Amino acid sequence: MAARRLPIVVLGGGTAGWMTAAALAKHLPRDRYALTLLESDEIATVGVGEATLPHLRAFNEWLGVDEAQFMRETGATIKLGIEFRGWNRAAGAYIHPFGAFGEPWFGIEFQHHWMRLRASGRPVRPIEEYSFSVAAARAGVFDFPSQDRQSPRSTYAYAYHLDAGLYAAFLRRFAESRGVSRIEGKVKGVLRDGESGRVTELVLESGARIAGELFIDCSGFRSLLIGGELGVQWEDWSHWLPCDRAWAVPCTQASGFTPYTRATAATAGWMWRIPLQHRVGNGYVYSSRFLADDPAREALLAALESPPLAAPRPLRFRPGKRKRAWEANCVAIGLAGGFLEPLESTSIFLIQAGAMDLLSLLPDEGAPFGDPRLRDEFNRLYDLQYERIRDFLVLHYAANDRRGEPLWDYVRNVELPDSLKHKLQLFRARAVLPNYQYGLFSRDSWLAVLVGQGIVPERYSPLADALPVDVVEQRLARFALDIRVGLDGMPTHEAFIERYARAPLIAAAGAT
Amino acid sequence: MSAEPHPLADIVVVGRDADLWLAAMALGRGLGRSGPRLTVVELPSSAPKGAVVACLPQLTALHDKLGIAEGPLIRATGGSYTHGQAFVGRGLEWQSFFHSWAPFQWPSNALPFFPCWLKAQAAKLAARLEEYCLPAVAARYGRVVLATEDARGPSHAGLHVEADRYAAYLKAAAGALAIPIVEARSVEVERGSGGITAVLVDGERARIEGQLFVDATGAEAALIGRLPAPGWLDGGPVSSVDRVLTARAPRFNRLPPLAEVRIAPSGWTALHPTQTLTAVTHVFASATTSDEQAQGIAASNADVALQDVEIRSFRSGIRREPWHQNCVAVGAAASVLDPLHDVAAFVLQLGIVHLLALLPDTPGAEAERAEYNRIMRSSLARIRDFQQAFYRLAPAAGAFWEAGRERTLQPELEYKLAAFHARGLFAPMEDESFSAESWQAVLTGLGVRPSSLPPVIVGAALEPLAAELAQQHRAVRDAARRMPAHEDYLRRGAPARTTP
Repeated sequence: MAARRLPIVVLGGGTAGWMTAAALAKHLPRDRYALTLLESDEIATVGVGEATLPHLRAFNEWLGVDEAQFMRETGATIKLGIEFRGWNRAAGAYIHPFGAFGEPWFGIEFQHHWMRLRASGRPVRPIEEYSFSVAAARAGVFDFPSQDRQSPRSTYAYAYHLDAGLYAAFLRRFAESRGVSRIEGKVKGVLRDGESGRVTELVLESGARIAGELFIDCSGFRSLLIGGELGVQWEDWSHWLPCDRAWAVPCTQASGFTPYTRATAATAGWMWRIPLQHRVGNGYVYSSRFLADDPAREALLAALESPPLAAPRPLRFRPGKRKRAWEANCVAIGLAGGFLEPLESTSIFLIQAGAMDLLSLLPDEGAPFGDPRLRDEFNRLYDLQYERIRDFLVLHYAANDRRGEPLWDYVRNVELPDSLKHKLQLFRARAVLPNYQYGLFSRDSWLAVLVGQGIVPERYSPLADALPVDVVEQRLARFALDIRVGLDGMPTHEAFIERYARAPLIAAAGAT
Repeated sequence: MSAEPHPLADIVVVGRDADLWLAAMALGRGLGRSGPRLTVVELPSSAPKGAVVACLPQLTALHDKLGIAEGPLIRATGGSYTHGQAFVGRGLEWQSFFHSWAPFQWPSNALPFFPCWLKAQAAKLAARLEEYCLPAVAARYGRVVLATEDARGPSHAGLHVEADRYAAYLKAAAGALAIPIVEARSVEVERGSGGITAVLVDGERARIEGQLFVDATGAEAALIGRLPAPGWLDGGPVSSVDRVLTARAPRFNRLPPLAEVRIAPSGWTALHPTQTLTAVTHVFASATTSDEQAQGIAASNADVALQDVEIRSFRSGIRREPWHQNCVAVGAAASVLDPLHDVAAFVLQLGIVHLLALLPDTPGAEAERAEYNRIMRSSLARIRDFQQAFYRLAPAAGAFWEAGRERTLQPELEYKLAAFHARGLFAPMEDESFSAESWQAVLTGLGVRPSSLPPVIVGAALEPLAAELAQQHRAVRDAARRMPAHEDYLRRGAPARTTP
C-alpha cells in the first residue's frame, strides 16, 4: 500500500484540462495519485482545434474510447486533409492530405520520378493526382483505410473535425467516472513555498484552498501559473507568424459536407471552414497590424456560406511559446504553454503530446518535487514539437505569390528561421525533402505543401535518369489509374457518417 | 541570377579495399548508363593480414541495393554470421553481457518491455536482460536465428568477412558494371580554386580529370586529406586507444555467431571468427603499455598462438566536412571511430547512402554539400555518444579504463545518460544509428540501474509481470534450441536467391 496519494491539480477545464485529466485518470494507479481538476463555469473556454490530426485516433485508442460513440457525441466528421485556397494563386488550390504521394520506385523518392517525367516532356499529371487521399477528399468519399499494403486504399490516414466543447464534455464524463474530482471555482491567489518556489496551494475566491504536489496549468491564454505566477518568459514568434487575432462564427452547412478542412487565404490572414455534423465552424485568423477588427469581422461574415448561427466571437493571441513548459512543480499544457495558429490543426495534437509525455515523466513517491532530469526531457520534447510545427507553418506564408497585399508582402520577405531556410534550400536545389525523425510532419506532408505553394525544384536526383523513361511513364500512369479505380464503391462522406456515427440532434450548446 | 549550370561530366572514385568497391558499385548502379561518367582509381590494399570486416545488420540493406546476396558472399569468402558482441572480462572483475542488435521478445499489446524488466529485476524476479533476446540466446548456443525455413539469412545478423576476400568479391561483382579501372600505386591531387581538378596516378603516369571526386582511400585520406579542410569535430577520441594490434589465429572448432570482446586492465581484445580464421584485434594506449607488452597480453587474452602480428598507430576523428569543395570522403577517409563496436563498415555505408541520396548533377552543389556534412556530422556524433557511454560507464579496473572514464562528455551524451539514470529513458535525438534496445543492453550490461520508473509501471502488479517474463524467458530458450547450429547452417549453405 502506498502511504499517501500524490495530489495532482489540473487548473482549468476545456480541451487541454480534460484531455490531460482523462489521460492521467486512465493510466495512473489510483492508489498512488489523487487527481483534481479546478474549473469555473464562468470562464469560457477557447475550444481550440476543431480540426485535428490522425494522431488523435491513437490518443482515443490509448484511452480505450469507442470511436463511433466518440464521433456521435462530439458531432465529428472525417478529415482527410486540408485544402489551401489562394495561398499561391498561380498554383491554385491544393490539398495537404494525411497520405502518401506515389511510391519510392527503385529506392528513389516519388518526386524525383515525377519531376524527371515532366522534364522529359512526357505527359504527367499534377502531383495530387498521385495521392489516393487527395482523390478521396476531392471526391467527397470515405471508408476506413485498407490493411492490404498492395491496395492504394492503404496509403492514407484520417482525422476528425469535432466540436471541441463537446469533446471536453465527453472527456469530462470519462475522467470523472475514473476518479477525477472536479472543483468549481476561480483562483484568487497562489501560495508558494518561499524556499523552493514551488506552488503549494491554490486559493479560490470562495476562500477554499487546494493543495497539490504537482500543478498542471491548463488555464489557457491566461497562463495563470507558468506565465503569471512563475513568470516563465515568452518566446515571441510574431515576426514569423504575424497573425494575432481571430473571429470565429458557426453557420449551417450549405456548400458541401467535405471530408477535409479548408483554409482560404485572405487579405490579412486566412479563413477556416470546418464542417461538423451539426454546423460549420468558420473563422478569420488575421494580423491586427494589417487589418482592424471590424473589417475583419465583416469580411468573415461576407464569406459565410449561410447566415451565422451566433454572433462572431473575437479571439486574441500571441504566436510563440513559453521558454519552459515545465517549471518548478508546474507543467503547462495547451494554450498556457504556447500558441500556434490553427493553420495545420496542431493545437489538440500539442495537448495530446504534452499529456502523453507528462505521463511517462511524472514525478513519483521517490522524487515528488520533480526530478530536474525528467523536467528537462519534457521541455526538450515540447520545444522540438513547437519548432517543427513553427517551421511548417511559416513555410505556408513564406512561399506565397499574393503580391501587393501588405501582410503577404511582409511574410514573403521576412528572414526565415535557419532550420527552415536549410529545408527550403535543399528542396529548391534538388527536390530533397527534410530529413528528420522526431516531431510532426512527414516527408509527404512537406512535399504536399512545398509543391502546393508553388516551389519548383531546380533539379532532381540524377539517379532517376538511370531508369528507362518508358517504365517510369507506365508506372505513374498505372498508379494514377489504380487511384481512380480504388475510389469505386467508396461511400460518400455523408453516407459514411450516416451509417457509422450519426449524432443525435445536438442542442445549441454545441454551437460556439 | 546564375547561368545555366554545367552538367557534371566526370566522377572519379579513388580508393582501396571494400571502401572503394562498395562506393564504386553504389555509384555505378545508381547512375546506370545515364549522366556522368565514372572512373575508378584503385590503390593497393592497406588492410592488415587476416583482418576481418565486421558488418552490422544494417549493411544487408546496402548489399541488397547493390544486388549482393549475402549467402553466396559468405560461401565464396568463408565468412560467417554474427548476432552481436559478447563483452567478457579477462583478468579483472567484470559482469559479462551480450549486445545484440535485436529487440527483446515481448507481447506487443503489453506495457513496454524495458521498464517492466527493470521493475521485475529490482525485485529479483527477472533473468538477465539478454535472456529475452532470441538472437543473443541462440548465439550463446552457437545457433543462428532464422525467421523462416527459407529465410535469405539469419535475422538481426551481421557478417564477419575477411577484408581481402570481401574486397575481391566486391571487385568481381563490380566488373559487371564495366566501370573503367585505373590501377595505381599512389595518387597525387591537382588543385584549382574549386577543389580538385585532376588526380595524378603514380607521379605523371596518368592524369584523370573530373568535377566530383570520391575519396574512398581509407585512413590515408589521399584526396580530402590534401585539401585545406576545416578539421575535426570537437570532443576528441572517446578512449585512450592509440595503438592497434592485429593478428590472425586459427578458426574456432565450433564457430560461434558472435564477436567476443575481452576486457583486460590495459585494453581490450576482440575476436572475430570466420570459417577460415579468427581475427584478433587488441587495442591499448602507448602511454601505459609497450608494443612488446601488448603482444603478450593479446596472445594471453586470445588464448591461442597469434600469427602475422602487426601493430599500427591509431587515431580517431570525425571530419567536420567530409564533403569539402568537390571532394566527398566516405568510410575511414571521412571519419574514424573507436574500434570497439565494429562500426567502421557502417560509417562507410552511411557515407555512401547519403552521397547517393544527395548526388549532384552539377558541380558546385552547395545545398547538397551542406546537407551531407550536416547529416554525417550528426550521425557520427550520435554513434560516438554510444561508444563513449561504454567507456564512461565500463566498471573495469586499470589505467586504460580510468582514462576512458575521465574523458569529458559532449552535452548530448551527458543529457542522454541523465535521462537514462533518472528513469531508464532513451532520449532519442535525430540521426541515431543505435536503437533504444542497444542502449538498454549496453547501459544495463555495464550496471546502470535507473532511479525511478514511469508511474504506469510502478502501478502495475508485479506477479503477472514476472509470470510474463518467465514465460518469455522459456519461449526464447525453446526457440533458440530449435534454431540451426551456425556450423551446420554454413555447411548446408545459405539459400542462394538474391533480392526478389
